[in-house]
Formats: sequence, C-alpha cells, structure tokens
Amino acid sequence: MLKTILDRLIQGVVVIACLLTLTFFLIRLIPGDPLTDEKAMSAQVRKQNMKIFHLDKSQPVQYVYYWKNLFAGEMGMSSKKEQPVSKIIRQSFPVSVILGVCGMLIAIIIGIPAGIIAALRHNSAIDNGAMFLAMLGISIPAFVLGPLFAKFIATQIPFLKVAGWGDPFDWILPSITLGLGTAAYLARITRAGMLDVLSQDFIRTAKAKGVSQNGIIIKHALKGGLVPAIAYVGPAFAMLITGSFVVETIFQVPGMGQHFVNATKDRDYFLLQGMVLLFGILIVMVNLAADILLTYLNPRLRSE
Amino acid sequence: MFKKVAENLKLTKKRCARQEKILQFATNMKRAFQHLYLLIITVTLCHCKSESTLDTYTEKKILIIGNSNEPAGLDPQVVTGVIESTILRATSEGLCVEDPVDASIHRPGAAASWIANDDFTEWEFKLQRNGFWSDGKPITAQDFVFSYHRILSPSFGAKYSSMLYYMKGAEDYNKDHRELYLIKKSTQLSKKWDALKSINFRGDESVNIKGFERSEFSSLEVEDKKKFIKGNGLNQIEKDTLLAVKADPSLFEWPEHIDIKTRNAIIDIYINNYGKDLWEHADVGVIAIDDYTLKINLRSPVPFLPDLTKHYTWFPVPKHAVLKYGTISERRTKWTEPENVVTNGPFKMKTWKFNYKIEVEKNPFYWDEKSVKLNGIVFLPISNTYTEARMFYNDQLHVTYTLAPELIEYSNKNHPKSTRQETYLGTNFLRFNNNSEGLNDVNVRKAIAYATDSKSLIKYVLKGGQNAATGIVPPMGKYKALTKFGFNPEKAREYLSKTKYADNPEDLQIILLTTDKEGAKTVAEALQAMWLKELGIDVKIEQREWASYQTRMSKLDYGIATGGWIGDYPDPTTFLDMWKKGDGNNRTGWSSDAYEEKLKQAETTKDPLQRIETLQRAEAVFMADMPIVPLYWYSSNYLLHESVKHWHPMIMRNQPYKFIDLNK
Repeated sequence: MLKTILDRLIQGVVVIACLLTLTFFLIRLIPGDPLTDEKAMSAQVRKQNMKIFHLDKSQPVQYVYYWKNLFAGEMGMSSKKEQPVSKIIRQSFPVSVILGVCGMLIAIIIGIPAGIIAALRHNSAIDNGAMFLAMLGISIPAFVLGPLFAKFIATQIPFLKVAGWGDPFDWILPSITLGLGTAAYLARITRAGMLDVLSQDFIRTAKAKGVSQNGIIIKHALKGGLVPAIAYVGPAFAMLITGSFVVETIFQVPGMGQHFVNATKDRDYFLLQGMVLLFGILIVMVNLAADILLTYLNPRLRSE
Repeated sequence: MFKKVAENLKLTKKRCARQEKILQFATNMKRAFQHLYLLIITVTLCHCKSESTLDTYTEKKILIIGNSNEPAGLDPQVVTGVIESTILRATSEGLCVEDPVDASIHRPGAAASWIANDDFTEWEFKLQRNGFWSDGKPITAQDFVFSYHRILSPSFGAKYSSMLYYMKGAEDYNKDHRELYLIKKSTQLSKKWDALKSINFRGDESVNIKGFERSEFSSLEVEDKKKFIKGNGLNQIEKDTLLAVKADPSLFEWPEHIDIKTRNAIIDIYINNYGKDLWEHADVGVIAIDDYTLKINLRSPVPFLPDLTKHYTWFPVPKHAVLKYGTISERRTKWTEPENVVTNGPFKMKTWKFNYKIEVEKNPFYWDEKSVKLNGIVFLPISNTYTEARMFYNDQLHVTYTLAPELIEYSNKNHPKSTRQETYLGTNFLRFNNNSEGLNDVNVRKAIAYATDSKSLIKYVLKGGQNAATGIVPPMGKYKALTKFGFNPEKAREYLSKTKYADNPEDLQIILLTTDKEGAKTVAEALQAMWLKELGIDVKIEQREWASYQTRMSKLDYGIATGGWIGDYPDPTTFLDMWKKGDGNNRTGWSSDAYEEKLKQAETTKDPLQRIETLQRAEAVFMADMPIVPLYWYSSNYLLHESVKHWHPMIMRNQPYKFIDLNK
C-alpha cells in the first residue's frame, strides 16, 4: 500500500513537472508579453521592466532560472499585480477552499441521496423526477443560475446578500450555485452505480437470507455502488476549487478561479505558472485520496 | 350510587378539563416559545441585515464604492490605471486639488499657494506649513524632489514617467542619455563636445537586434556583436560589453576622427560610471529652495501645470518611508504594504484584503482634516458589471464604477434619481493602418470615414448616451475644433470616386481588427454593414483577445482597428501628442511634419489662448489627413445613491473625496 502511494506520488511529481514545462513554453508562444499594455512605454522603460521581471534573457535561461527559484521556494512575481505569486495564492486559496468544500458538501448531500433513492425506486416517478432535475442541473450553467439566485432568493431573505464575501451567510448562494452542477452529475453516477450493484447476485442472496432493506442498502449495496461516484468526486473537487471563475465574478468572491483566467489574459507568466503548479498538486492529491478510499471500499482493488 | 358515579364523572371531567387546560397552557407556552424563538431569530437576522445595509454605513459616514478590479498596487509611481487612481486620490494628494464644481479652479492641496513666471516656465509652490504624512512626519519640499527623482530614475522603470517630461531635463535623465552628463560636461576629455557628438551613444534604431536581444553577449558571433552594440549604443550596453569594446575597438563603429586615446578615455568614463545614478549631473528642474518652497522649472510654457499636479504621477511619496524598506530605484519594496504605507491624502490605508476590499479611514494628520466629512471609504473590486448593479439595487453600494448599457433603460425606469450619465474625457476612434495597401490613400481613408455613421452607432448599438465625435479632441475649456467631421455618404462616395477603387470597391481587402470585449463584435458588424451599404467595401472582421489585439496593432498588422484614448489631464495635448512620429501610442504609421511643427509651436507659445489656437490648427492638419476616424466621445454611466452629497459631474470622474458627504 505504502509503495503504491509512493509510486503515485513520484508519478505526480513527474506529471506536474511536465505540466509546468508545457505551460512555460506555451504561454510564451501566444502573442504579447507581460508588458503589453494599452499605453505604450518608451524603449528604455520597456527594457528596464523586462529586466525587473527577468524576461530579458533567452527562454532556456529563463526556464532554468524559473526552476532554480522554484526549488528555493520562490514562485516569482505577478507582473500585473506586482505582488509575489505566493502571496496572491495565500490570500485567495483559503477562500477557494471554503467555496470548494461547501460546494462539494452540497453536491454530496444532494447528489448521492438523490442517486440512491432514484436507484431504489427505479423507473418510478421519483426516479424520473430526480433524473429530470439532474439533467436540468447539468444543463443550466452557473452564469444563469447565479444571477437567478441573486435576483430571486438573495433579495427575499434578509440575511443573504446578492454578492459579497463578508460573513458565513455569504457562502450559501455561491456554494449552491457551484455545487448544483456537480450534484446533478453525482446523482446520475450514483444512480448508475447503485443500479449496477443492486442487480448483482449477492444482493439477491442477501435478500433471500432475509436481510432488511436498509441492511442491504447500507451494508452491501452502498460500498460497491458508490465507487464510481467517489472516483468522480476527487477530480471534481479540484475543479470546484480552481474552476470557480464564473461563480466568483457573479457573487464577488475573492477566490482563485479568476487568477487562472486573468493570468492567461494578462500574460502574467509567473502567476499562471503558480496557478498551474497549485492545480497540478491538487489534482494529484485528490486523485490519490480518491484511490486510497476506493481501495478501502473495494477489496478487489487491494490485491492488484 | 348513580349520583356518585355521576359526581365522579363530573370530577373526572373537571380533572380532565383542568388537565386539558394545563396541557393547553403548556402547548400554548410551547408555541409561544416557538414563536419567541422564531422572533429572536428574525430579530437577530434583521439586526444582522440592518448592520450590513447601506444606511448604517451612511450613518457612519463611510462611502462604499464599486471599483471594477483589484488595483495593481498602490505606489503612485508604479501604477498606470484608472482603478488605482480612484484609490490613490483618496490616500494621496498632489500639489493642487480639483474643485468639485468648477474644473478651471485649482484648490490648494499639498501646496498652499503657487506662482508662475510670465511664460509659465518657472513655478514656485509654497507647501502647507501644517502638511504632515499619515505617520505625523512633516511633508517637505525634499519629499517632492525625492519623489520626482524616483519616478524618473532610469533603473526604476516607471511606466508612466513621461507625464513628468514637461520638467526641464526630465526626459534626458529618464531615458538615460548619459552622454549629456558624462561626455558633454566632462573635463577629462581633450576634445570638445562638437567633435564627439557624432559618436553612437543612443543606439541606431534602424539596426534590427530583435533576434539576439535576449542572448548573452559573449555567445554571439562577431558580426552580431557589432550589430548588437550599434543597435544599443554606448548608453545601453552592459559592463561586460563595454569591456569588450575597450579590448577590441573594432566592435564599435567609432567615427574616424576620434583618436585611440579619446576612445579609451570615453570607454573608461562609461565603465567607471556604469550603473551609477547620474541625478546630480542631470539638473532636472525640481529644486527644494527650503523645506516649504518647491521650485519647478519646465522645458517649455505649461499653463496647465496645476492640472498635471493632480495626476497621481505627480503625487509625492514619503522619502523616509520609501528608504526604510529599500533604495530609491527599487520597485516593489514593502513600503506599500498596507501596514507600512504612509500617505499624505485626506484618508489613509486601513485594511487591504486582496480581491475583496480596500478600506481607507480619515487621516488625522491631514492638513485640512476639519473639512473632510467622510470617516472612511470602502473600495470593492467588482469586475462583473451586472453583479455591481445588483449590489447597488440591493443597497450594498453607494456608487458603482459603471453601468452596463443594457441596464440603463431599466435603471432609468426603476431608479431614476440614481442613474447618472455624464460626459467623460475620452475619444473612441478607429485607427487606419496608413501603411497598408489602399488605406495609404487619403481619399480611401476619407471615404470610409465619411461613410461611418456614428450617430446611428450610438443610437442603435451602443445606447450609452455617448456623443458623436467631430474630431479627436473632445470639447474642453476654451478649445473649439476648427473643422467638424461628421457622417456624409455623398462626400464619402465622392472621395471614393477619386481613387482607383472607384469602380471596384470590393477589391479593397481590409481587416477590421477588434477586441473580444463585450459588444466589440456588434460594433464591428455595424461598421462593416455601413461601409458595405455606402461604399460597397466589404471588410473582414477579426476579433482578438486583448494582448494579441494590442500586439497586432503595435506591429501595424491590421487594416482598420477599433481603439480609444482617455485623457490624462484636461488639455488638448493629451489627445494630440500621441500622433507624433515614433510615439508608441500612434500605431497608425501616420506622421506629418506640418502637424508636429504646429505642436512644437504651441509648446513654445506663452499666451494660453494663442497656444490653444495653435493646437486647434494642429488638429485641423490631423483631420485633413484622416489617419483615424473619430467615432464618439465617451460618456460615463453609473449609479449614485441619493445619500451621497456634493458629488458633481466631472469629466475625468476625479471626484475630490474630501468634499463628499453622506446624509440620509
């Protein structure tokens, strides 16, 4: 087990290194550079700024320089915000984690029970209704849902604001907006997984032995039925943390998603690099966590 | 017996009734508690709500402003944008301050009074005797000298340093024209400056060094080394390159008449002074006569200097605080961190939560503290304009940064008193690539220009209350454009008939370059349709995201491109100077000697009125060549809460916060 984890970690490091290298060179292929601005600057000023941001050397030299700095724990300076990348991440990451965790919780609380119930009442009105809602949840994008929530819910309930990030009440609407799509997906995956397990022979055996309905579901079906859902939750969680750009702008949340989008737009090389690094680490970690959980749930995986 | 039973029954009934009553009471109590519980929740929530609403802030006299985006820092000498400016104008103050009503009046700021000589080239500012930084230290003239030294310092790399080029010697110092200080004034050299002038100090722009700009000098081939040195000139090469030139003089194209001894002496001077700050030798026109008297010498008459001093590039930075965290030419030191920053404005930094909010509070050391009415301002970086509007409608904001055109009608109907529409000092225009096939013909440019119906564009597409532009300079002060440009399809066709495309306009292959911003495509399509309808010219629209769009425009890789310019200060030159030859903002490939002659003439004119007239003539020269099509003069649309008092329309939206008040 420990060896597997170690193996996966090493794989993860390699993946992240590739990711960083690709990003490094690809972003430099796009027209423009960090100093591209609406207002032109004189050649001298431009040259000086290239020096300040360590862009005055050839790309291989910059690349080596980047890795050297990274090993020294230095992620560089955001050229747009003139702040250390590490500081920007430090300030926005906790917000994104709160939003991501709340979003995920909502997704799990809604999605998994809905999926289970739909599977148990297969082909009933409940099943159809739940799946219809799930389809709706997947189809309606956050930029439609968010403003609707703000307009029709936030203005009606006294402690909710249409946007802002002050007290925990402000977490509610963005988290729901963020989580609903995932919840819908999760419901569908859980339902499929459960249906698959419920049709297996050992369930029938359990039923024949007189195990109660609840016992069957909780003790036997859930373990196997949730496997696909958990495999999905891992990467989805990383996506929720980093990919909340739309929700962030709708509800004015000071999270990380916007840096991801803006860094590319602004050719903010170092900020983008920092974001990619963080995203890479997140993906590797949550996938690893999901895998460990899956091995625990599914004994068949353990022997492999 | 029966009686007894009946009595018993009665008793039981009674008991039951009593029990029932008790039960009922209990239920009632329970219900009451439940209600109370609900009531408490509601009250608490309402309390929460009322604390976060605008009224409370209004009562506390704290203004909440939507400010579009997170600022790129708060060092006035580093930043370049409008969103930084809205915050800096609260925390810092220049020599003069805007009047909230009359733009032509300059109110005392860091300077209590000022006088200029007859031709506006020498100015003397008397600083406020009771002027203090937010840490209690006095603001002195030395702070100003330090500030202007810092922003102009070549190694500091301030992107907006050109705003101070009006000062004598500032441009040469900022562009690091070292030969003026090292060689021209040198006493070590036997030759006179006239003989040395021809040396390639500043680099030869015609030499293409793009290919190896970023390579190590030592790794280059000999021919490339020569090119590299020629392209950069002595002023811009590194120390190792200077040493290489000394070792092998053939790498540098020395003029024939300069002997080996002088060559070596010059190189030695350069090596000895490599990396040194030459401020002491530069004689830049800013002098601290005493602690409270600042003298500014200008290179030419600038009657609008007080307007310039209101721009953040002219704001002072505290010498003591800046030097505490680094040297003068170091950027991004810790002095602008919220806990370290020291400012001189009516407000000072309180909290800065990245991407969430910036809070400033009243500065107790401010010289005019008693006239400041607000206790603080909160700036929220709301980039989504719809979110911003929703927040305003939901009583979370006093002022919005903008209002999306789609919401203007709704706002006018539902919030008529809050919806504001004002002129804004800026021009939107289309650039012609004057070097491209077809558009290098002035008649083609004019044909397209006159076929552009900006009034319809405003009415049906933009819908933001803009004004159709009749020239590049928007109306300001006494400036009156001599020519008035406008939509005229007959004229357009007449111009086209004079060109070789008269019979086959479809031969004109033009790319209309625009951005990926909201509405950009609709505008481009409207223009495309206008030109097709009036002239039969079918342009191809290409949308590019911001940085690619800028890059292509700078490289002149386009036919027609959308663009705009916001004035930095209320003077026509802010819209005219950019069209000079070689100006980085020109991006049209157009230049005209006659035009630059007029600008130069205006620069040396003492009489303000005459100066304005000369500038009007310069614009007429510009418009006769039509290197651009003026589309519209900007308007600013935003929402303003009724509780905000003394907020007046200002064409640069530079509300002086110290006069603003909040009242229910």
